[in-house]
Order: sequence, then structure tokens, then C-alpha cells
Amino acid sequence: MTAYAAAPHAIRPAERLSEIWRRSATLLVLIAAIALLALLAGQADAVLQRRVIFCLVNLVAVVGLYIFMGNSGVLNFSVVGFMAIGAYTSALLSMPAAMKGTFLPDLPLWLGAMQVPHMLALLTAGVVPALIALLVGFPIMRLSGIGAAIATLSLLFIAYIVLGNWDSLTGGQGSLMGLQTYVKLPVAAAVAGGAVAVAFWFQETRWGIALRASREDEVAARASGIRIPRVRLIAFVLGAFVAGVAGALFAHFQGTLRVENFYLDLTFLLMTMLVVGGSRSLTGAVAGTFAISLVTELLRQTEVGVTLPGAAVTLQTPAGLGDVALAGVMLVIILFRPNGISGGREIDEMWRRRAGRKHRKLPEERNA
Amino acid sequence: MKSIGGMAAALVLLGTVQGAHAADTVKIGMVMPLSGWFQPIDASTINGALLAVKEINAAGGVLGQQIEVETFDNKSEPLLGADGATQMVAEGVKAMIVPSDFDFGAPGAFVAQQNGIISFSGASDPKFGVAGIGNLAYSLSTAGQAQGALLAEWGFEDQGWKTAYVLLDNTISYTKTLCGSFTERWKELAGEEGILGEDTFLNGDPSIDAQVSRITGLGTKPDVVLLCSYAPGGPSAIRQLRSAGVDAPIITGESMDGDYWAGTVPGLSDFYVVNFGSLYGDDTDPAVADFYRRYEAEYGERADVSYAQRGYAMIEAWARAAEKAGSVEPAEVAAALDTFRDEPLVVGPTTFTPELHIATTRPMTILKAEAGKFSIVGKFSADEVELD
Repeated sequence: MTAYAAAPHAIRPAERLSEIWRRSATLLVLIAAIALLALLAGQADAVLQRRVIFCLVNLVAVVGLYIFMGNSGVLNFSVVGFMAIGAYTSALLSMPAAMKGTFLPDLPLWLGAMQVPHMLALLTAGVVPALIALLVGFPIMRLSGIGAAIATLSLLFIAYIVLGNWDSLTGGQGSLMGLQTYVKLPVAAAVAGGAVAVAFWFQETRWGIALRASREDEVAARASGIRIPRVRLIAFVLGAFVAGVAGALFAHFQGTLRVENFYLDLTFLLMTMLVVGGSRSLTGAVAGTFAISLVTELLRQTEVGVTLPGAAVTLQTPAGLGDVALAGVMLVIILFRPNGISGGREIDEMWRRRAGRKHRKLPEERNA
Repeated sequence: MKSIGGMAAALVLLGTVQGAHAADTVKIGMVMPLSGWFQPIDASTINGALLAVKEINAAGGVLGQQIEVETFDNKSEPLLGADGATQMVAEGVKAMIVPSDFDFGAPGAFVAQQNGIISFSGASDPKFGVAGIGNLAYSLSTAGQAQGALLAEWGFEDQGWKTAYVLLDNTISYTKTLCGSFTERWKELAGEEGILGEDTFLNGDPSIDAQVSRITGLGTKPDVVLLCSYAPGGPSAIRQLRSAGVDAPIITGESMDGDYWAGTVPGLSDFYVVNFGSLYGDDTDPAVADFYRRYEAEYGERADVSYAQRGYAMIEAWARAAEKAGSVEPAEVAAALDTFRDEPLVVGPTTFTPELHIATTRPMTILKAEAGKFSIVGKFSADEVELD
């Protein structure tokens, strides 16, 4: 990713417009891919539809993870914690009063009676984690490397422990039921498309470009006048917003909510999706989510046992293979393709790279 | 994608083939943990239910229809239960069985409720029912609150114990409910000073030295220790209590039923557990004793835990309600289930009302372990049960 200022010659307006158009190709292709997946899934049976919705919800979360971790290069384990906060926010705002009375009898009266429209609850589910991220991100964004990774891991632990023990507000370790399940294919696809658009918009802003510069070379970025903590904080807050929305989607997809679902398993799944796809590009985030969802589903099918149509053979793998295979995929990718399926490039960059191989080498060719 | 399409096509094909002879069969779904860490807990439930299906089918089925069981493995992941329930709905089941725990069973039961299908569980949480899920969710268990109250009444009135110490494994909601309701009832019976102390630990704690020394350091020794826990943390706690010289009787609830863990506590004695019946061949209720004989004949081994009775009773209750209603349609079966008043099921007399879908004052069995061997003490029921 090269900043315009680094181009060898001044940019004429027409050239600039075509450049914007070319870069937007990535966004258009990604959104088209999401729409296509949703349309295809609409024809499938109910269980497969649920799998696709789950994949799209995960995509929103992975995009939330990508906005900070992908652009800044700083490991971030806190996303699932923000998802949990978003999920509980939406649940508290939208559960019917009767259900709150059963599961959360100790709620303050005003909160127990409150029931706001879904979209408002969904939005608030993003805003609350974003505000918390702003507060805690302020000191954490000064850290780098292992320090930052451990700090974000602590955030996950804190969110899990607080939500799991705040009995009056969350019901503690128990399940909450009776959330409206409005997250069907259209909603999931629309929000996933929206999240991808937000992430794309962010990485094209000057903050996004500055953040990516700091990822490549912290010292050089600082020397160029980039205030790293500030650009990181912007991405952290935006990422927390998207993660919170993902958490609310998750809750309203399942209809049940339990803090246990927002912990290390999900963190590892989302990390694998991002790393396998290629954490350095939005294309990678989407590709990784699709790829891992597909692999997980195929493995689940083979664990149940698949009878091949037209053949008298049943494929069956031992139970528990799924988790092993997931870790294996992650290992293979890290060893042989450290930048993931996408190679850390966006779609337009891949096209240009292919064109460049045929004709000439582009000056902005990155040596990643 | 190709193979998924193929599989979907195969599933659809399978569905139509089975649909062809749907007239003389009725489908029951089983969305249960067939693998994973929850599997051993519900293995007896599944076996019990399958035994009931076999016996009912052998006797001519329900309203002349043979019961056909469809299974889905939730792999001990609660959320997969929702997928399983969705699949069961698509396959046209009339009722489904979900795992014996509120958190594990609820996701599937919720999907069933939304699609107008009855769900059965062995969850001991009254939330598994009208208030928490809906009017089509039924639990064949006895409410955890009732088990705590029962233990308190039995200990105070039948055993003459006056002081109790409460040790809570603070990891699952059942144990919290059990200890909470016991404490409440015990205080009503023995007064505030009847509880000498309350303490908590976590199932995964490698050592509970601190908790044990607080008990050994008490001025007066408690007459009884209530331990609300489950394996492996529970047996480990008993071992540590006994080796530290705490020789008071230890009592606990259904979560420590069975003797599969007894080998880890050498010479387990003066230990009492409340459950649904004695699987050791000495139950005082001939129907229960006979049930365990048939179970052993069918599977070639004794049931691990008395949850086998709950599993059997799920199918038994459904079939009896269907016969009463003269229909297998969920709404009509549910209406018939709601008229159960002390209906004699293998799990014990069962009452369902339109408001409450779990038993409270049903008699339960108390077993005693001496030198590692369990035997029945008797059947008791709670007089007063507070569900909140």
C-alpha cells in the first residue's frame, strides 16, 4: 500500500479518479461475493442456511479484528470480549420484559421494562464497546509487540470474568433466552457487507494509510510525523464497534446468549480465519472466513459420515478431527504462506500484479 | 461447494424416501451429545429413551404408529443443538429430546418451541419449561430447588442432624441452586445458627486445603456437610475432606449420582446422594427395580446413573400423552401432558400443569455409600419447595 505522496510524479485529476475506481474494485468484488453467497444459501436447506448465517456473523467479527490487527500489525485478542459486551448490550435493550423477569430478576426497574427497536439495539451494541475501547485503548495503544498483545488478552479475560459474574445484569454463567432471532440471511449479509465497506473506507483514509505505514516501519512512520498511538486508537475503537455489532448479531442469530460462547474457542477461530486468509488485507479477512467456514463444515459433515451419491462408500472421520484440522491448517499457512491465502494483497493489487508481470513492473510493487 | 450441494441433494432425496411411509411411523428427534465431554453424562438418558422406544414399538407403537428415532450429535457444544433442532424440524419430528442441562438443552429447545415442536429434557432447572423457553418444553427431572429442600428436610427431620456446613462448587447453576435451596430450608428448620458456615470452591481446583482447614478449624463439628459438586471435582473434595479427618456425613444431589467415580475415594463411607432410583438392584419400587433389570438385559451392563429413568420417562410421557390425546400433533400432546397429575412414570409420579413443566414434590430416592458400596435408604419427598 503506497501513499499518493510517494508516487513519482504529480497526479492529474483524471488519473486520480481512475485510481479510485480501480481501488474500489476490491470493495465491489468482496460485496458481490457476500451477496452471491447469501443468494446461493437462500436455495439451500435450513441447516446449511444456518451455517452460512454463522459464517457471515463470523465475517463481521473477523472484519472487526482486521480493522485494528490487520492495519496496525499489533496482535489483538480483545475482539471477542467486545463481542460479548455488544451481545449483552443488545440483549438487555431488546429482550421482552417477561423474559427479563425470568432470567434477570434483579435488573434495575427502568432497564427491566426497556425494550427498544432491534436496529437501535444493534447500533448501541456497537457504541457501548466502542466507548469502552476508547477508554481502555488510551493507555494500551502506547504499547507495542508482546506488551500490547498481552494487554488485549487481559481485556478479554476481564470482559469474560466481569460478564460471567455480574449476576444481576447478565445472569452470570447462565443462559439468557428469548432474544428475538431477527438475524436471517438478508440481515446477516447486509451487515457483513456494511462491515466490509466500513473497513474498506477506513483503510483508504489518511488514518488508515498512516496506521499501515506504522505497521511496516514504526520508526520511519514516527519520523514522518505519524502519531502512532492516535491512529491506533482510532482503529481500535472502530474495530470494537464492528465487533460489538457482530456480538449482537451472534446473540440474535442463536436466540440464546451465554458468556461461555465468547471466550478462547471463538477467539482462536476468528484468529485462524484472519491469519489463514492473510491478516494484511481486507480481501484476506473475507477469504479466510469463507475458507475456514467451508473447511469446518466439510469436516463436520465427514464426522457425521457422508455417503457419496452414486457410490456405496461412506466417508467417516473420527470425532474431534475438526479441531485438529483447524490447527493444522493454521500451521501449514504460517509455515508455507505467512501472508495467508491473499498474500496480504487486496484484489486490485493482485490484478495489477498479474498485469505487471506481463507488461512492466509497477513502481509501487511491494516486496511483501 | 459441489459436495455440499451433493449432500443437500442426498438429504432431500433421503427425506422424500422416508416421507413415503410416514403414515405408519412417527418421528422423535434426539439432539444429544453423542461425543465430547458431556457424552458420558447423557449416555444413560439416551439408552433409557431408546429402551422405551423399543418396548413401545414391540407393544404395537403409539396409536398404531411405530416410533422412529432421528439422531443428531451436538458434540457437547450447546449451540450446535440449535442446528440439530433445525434439522429435526425439517425431518418432521413430532417431539425431540435435548441434553439434560438447561444451558445445553435450551438452544435446541428454543428452536423446537419456535417451530411448534415439543422438547423434553432432564434439566433440573425450572426455567426449562414455560417461563424460560415456552409452553412446549418439558423437564422430566425434579427441580433442583426441590432436591435441596428435600435433603434439608430429610437431614433435619429423619436423621436428626442439627448443624450443617455448606460447601459449594461454584461452577454450574445446578450446584448453586442445590446449595441455595438447602440453606434456605435448613435455616427455616434449624434456625440461622443451624448453618455453621458456607464456603465455595471451583471444580477444577487441584486442592481445597483452605476450605478443608476452615471446616476442621470450626469450634463445633457440623453434624452434616452438604457438598454441591460433580465429578471430578466433587470426589476429589470428598477425598480431601476425609483425609483431613472430617468424618461427618456428606450429602449431595443428583449431580454425583452413580458409582463410576467411587473408586477414586478409597472406602467411601457415610455418604448420601439423592437421585431418581437405585440402579443397584434394591429399589423399593418394583417398577424401578424391574426397569433396571430390563436395562441391563438390553445393554449388557448396568446403567451408569439414574438418568436412565429420566430418558425412559421422556418417551413414556410422550407416548402416554399421545394415547390420551388420540393424536401425535404437538399441541394436542402438550395439552394432554398438562393434565398429568402424579402420572406414574418410571422416574416417579409426575405432575405437569399449564404453568409448571417440572416436578417439585415428587418422592426421590436417597442412597447411602458404605465402604464404596451403594444401597437404598428410602424414598422421600419435600413438603415445601420455593422455586425462586
